[in-house]
Amino acid sequence: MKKFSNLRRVEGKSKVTGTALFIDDLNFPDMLHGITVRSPVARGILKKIHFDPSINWNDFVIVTAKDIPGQNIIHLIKEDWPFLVGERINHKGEAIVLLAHHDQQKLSEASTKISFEIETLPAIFTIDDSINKKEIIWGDDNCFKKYYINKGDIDLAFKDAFHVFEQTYRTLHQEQLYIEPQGAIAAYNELEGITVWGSLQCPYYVHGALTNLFNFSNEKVRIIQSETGGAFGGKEDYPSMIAGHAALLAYKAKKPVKLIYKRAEDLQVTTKRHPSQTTIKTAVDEGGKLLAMDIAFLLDGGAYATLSEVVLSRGTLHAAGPYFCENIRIKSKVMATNSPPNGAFRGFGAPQSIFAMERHLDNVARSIGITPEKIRTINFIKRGQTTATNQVLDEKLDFDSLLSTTLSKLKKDTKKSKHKHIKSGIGIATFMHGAGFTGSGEKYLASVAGIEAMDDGKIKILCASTEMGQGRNTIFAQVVSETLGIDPHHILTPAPDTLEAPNSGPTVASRTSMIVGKLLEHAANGLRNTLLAAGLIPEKYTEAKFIQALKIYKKKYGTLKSFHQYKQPEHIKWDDQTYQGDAYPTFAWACYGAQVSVNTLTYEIKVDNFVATQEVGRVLNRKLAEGQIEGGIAQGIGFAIFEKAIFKDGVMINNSFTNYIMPTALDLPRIHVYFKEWNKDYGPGGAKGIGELPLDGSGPAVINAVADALNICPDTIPYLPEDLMNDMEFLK
Amino acid sequence: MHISSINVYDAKNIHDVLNLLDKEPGRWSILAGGTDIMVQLDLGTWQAPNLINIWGISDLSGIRINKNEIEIGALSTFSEIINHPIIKKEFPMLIEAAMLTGSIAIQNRGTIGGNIMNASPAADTPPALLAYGAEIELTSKNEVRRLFYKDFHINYKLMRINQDEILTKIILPRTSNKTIDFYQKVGTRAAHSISKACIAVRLTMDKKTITDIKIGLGAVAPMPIRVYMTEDLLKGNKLSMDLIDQAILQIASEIHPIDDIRSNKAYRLRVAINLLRNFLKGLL
Repeated sequence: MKKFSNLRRVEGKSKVTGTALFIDDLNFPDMLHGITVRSPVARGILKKIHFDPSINWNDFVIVTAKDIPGQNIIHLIKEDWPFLVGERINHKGEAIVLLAHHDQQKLSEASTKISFEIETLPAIFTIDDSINKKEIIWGDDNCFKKYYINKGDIDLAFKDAFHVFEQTYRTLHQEQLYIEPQGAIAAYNELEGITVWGSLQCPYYVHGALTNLFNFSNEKVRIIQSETGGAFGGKEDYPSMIAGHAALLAYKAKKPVKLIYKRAEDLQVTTKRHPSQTTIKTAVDEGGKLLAMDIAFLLDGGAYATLSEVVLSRGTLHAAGPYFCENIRIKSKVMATNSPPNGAFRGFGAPQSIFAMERHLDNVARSIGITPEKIRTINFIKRGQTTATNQVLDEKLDFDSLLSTTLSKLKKDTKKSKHKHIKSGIGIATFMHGAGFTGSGEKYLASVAGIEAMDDGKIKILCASTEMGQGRNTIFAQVVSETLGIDPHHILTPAPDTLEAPNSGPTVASRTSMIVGKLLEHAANGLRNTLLAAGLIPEKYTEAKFIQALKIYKKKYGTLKSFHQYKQPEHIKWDDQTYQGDAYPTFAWACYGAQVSVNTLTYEIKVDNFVATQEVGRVLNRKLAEGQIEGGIAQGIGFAIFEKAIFKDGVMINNSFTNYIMPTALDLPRIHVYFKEWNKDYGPGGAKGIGELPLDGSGPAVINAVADALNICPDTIPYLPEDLMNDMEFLK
Repeated sequence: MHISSINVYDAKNIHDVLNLLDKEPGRWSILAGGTDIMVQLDLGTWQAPNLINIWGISDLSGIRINKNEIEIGALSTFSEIINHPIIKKEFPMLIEAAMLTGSIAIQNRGTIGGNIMNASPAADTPPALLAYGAEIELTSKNEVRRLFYKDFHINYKLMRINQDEILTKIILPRTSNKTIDFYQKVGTRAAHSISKACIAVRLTMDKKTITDIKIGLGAVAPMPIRVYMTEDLLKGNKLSMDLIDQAILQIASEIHPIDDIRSNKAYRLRVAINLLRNFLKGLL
């Protein structure tokens, strides 16, 4: 089979030359612009809306909760998130009024002429206040969801243990910072219903949300993805909100309405990574072998449930790390606070709990006088052993080899600083990331993807998975062309349009290449078998012959489509009630290492060198895979030592590129990426998930290196120079 | 304020600018490179509705080398300064400051005059200009006057400039003495970064005695400042660990950093102290 693993990014040229059309590039005749007027308080009861009489409001399209024809709830997991405030306000910045007008300046002026009469209620902003029920703001106890995993008998194991160590670790908000802010355009007519174009990850999430919002049948809502300038999870749930707003305005105006957020607005109201608080108590024997782990993992969910319970699930299932331990207890909760809902962000809860475990292991190693490498080597999980959920790992698994590759590349670059005030250190993190949906997720999704032959002999991919910069177009073109044995330029990869694309599930959870790619591989085989059965191609055929066969078939039978639906392999067993069994079909395995230098005069941390070794099954496309790893590490370094979202009244106040400090290319080290390709039983050609993995381990590797450089114990990220100064003063 | 409600007048030459400022003092603000205004417009925080666009006025740009001083036109961009061989040789801290300002795109468009007039306490070039004892030239229709730059900033965004005046030049005094320069900006990241603390020092030494010293600081007070008392303490004295300790105590009481969105008071103070101490210790 011919491989196209050097295939260049399919849409690369249009993006580089500026011909790619992003949502704000699209315009329609007679289109209006929309704007959102938001709550100035974090919690309260909306009594009245005042429209300043100095404005001629007849000029404007005005939408409030009263105008909603269907349900004022964004359909997701728990039905609690309103499109517009009806009565109760649960976070600052919550949308109350929508306005549309053709003149953007008039619109922004008018938006300042609306005021609210609100009965303010006390708000809570921290996990502790939420758990302690300082105010009850959601349900009976502020808890969106909790999980409990138990393996062995931890109480027995803690009794008489050689060494017990307990510590709490925290991670704060992180913003996805996609280049293109959130935006949508909606149009309405009676015949076709609502059509939305948007910068989004999951067309069918938006579709589901809008059918509920309008009480429309499925056919009366159509979602089309526009070119999407980055997402990182940030365009998983929120596009349902902004698309709903644009649609409400368009429905009332009977004209197309464009709603695009400015960066400052986007940063204040859209989802972020959940802040976390993880307390880990471990028992080890004299040699450092883990005897028991007791983990309490807490997340701040914000004001509504949104995706929090699934984020919590993934964080919970990754909390024990890639270590074998007979006795594990994990208790986790996601709590409500009065800030905009936190949501999906690359890693989806795992970077939070993995940070805690990887810092913790270094702390334990230090306290019993062994090296960070040693404590990991002793405890690495091996083939045939069980995870916290009693999943038996049955694939090649050699963490020692991942570790030795990383260490060998890390030490080679080490050089001692000639400045006395520069201290250098090395840190590692070992971790895994479950590929695809958790537990029975893929079974319930039962995704469908397919391909269709076109009249000109080209093959069109039909699925709802989206390109957002990660390489979906290229990977799918590559998989289908390799399966069919034809050149990738014959493959068309249009953006999903729910009118014709089947639901291949959301573009999340490192599942697109592995799960949807595999469906396309099956679909391509199906199409080839159809041509074989029709006698139009022999077993061995040339590209020209194949294309000719397609055209003949099309002419004779009209259409040629091939779909495939996901079916969970029989051997995967998962129990949602007890949280026992096969949490993920497979995992990517990794060992990352960082070398840092710390300036003890300015407390600045510089990552000088970074090594990323991972096993991800077959590497489909090396360039794209390396890009995923490097980009994820850049975000992970940002998470660890740069990106601090400062919150006041539950909303981000450093909501600009100037003051929310994302690292630039100059702040990042050379990143050395190494792949091992051991297990090829999963995705197309044997590929496993890769997208989220790099964010999991880069933060703790960097912070472990800082701890090594200065003999300090940072327990909270982001860890900024100001924090480092405090820790150093404390040492004095 | 929305960009569409801004009234921009394109000035053809310096006389044009001065006439307008003379006729309607206080009505107009100056648009030079626009790198600060652009950001404020986007954030909706820009307030001045009337702008005189001076970009491209040749009378205001250009770098002239005289025997005793260098005159830098206020419209000179950071990039023009960075690429000037004599400034590079004689005033390296100004080059370093310019190279640390924003990013290359900002350096191509941003001007040194704009950097001064925007009057951010955290601007990167003012500490270097203060340490070099720079002067500035202010011009109105009826007068051209010179002022020591150290006397220009009075308080946060408050400057000794009249409503009919415009900043036309920055003047750097050349010296044949052997000097020692030290500049360090501590920002939030390596590029596109606003200073959390910034220090610039120029001094001359005779054996181990400091014969002259000027210390300029950014982001530690409501405006870019000199620390005269610290300078006086060091000047004329033989450098010793004891003298350095005294200077550190002095500077700690002379600067007034604040807590804000980018950093905090304790950090700014500590970093300013660490940098000065480490620099002086290196001269022992």
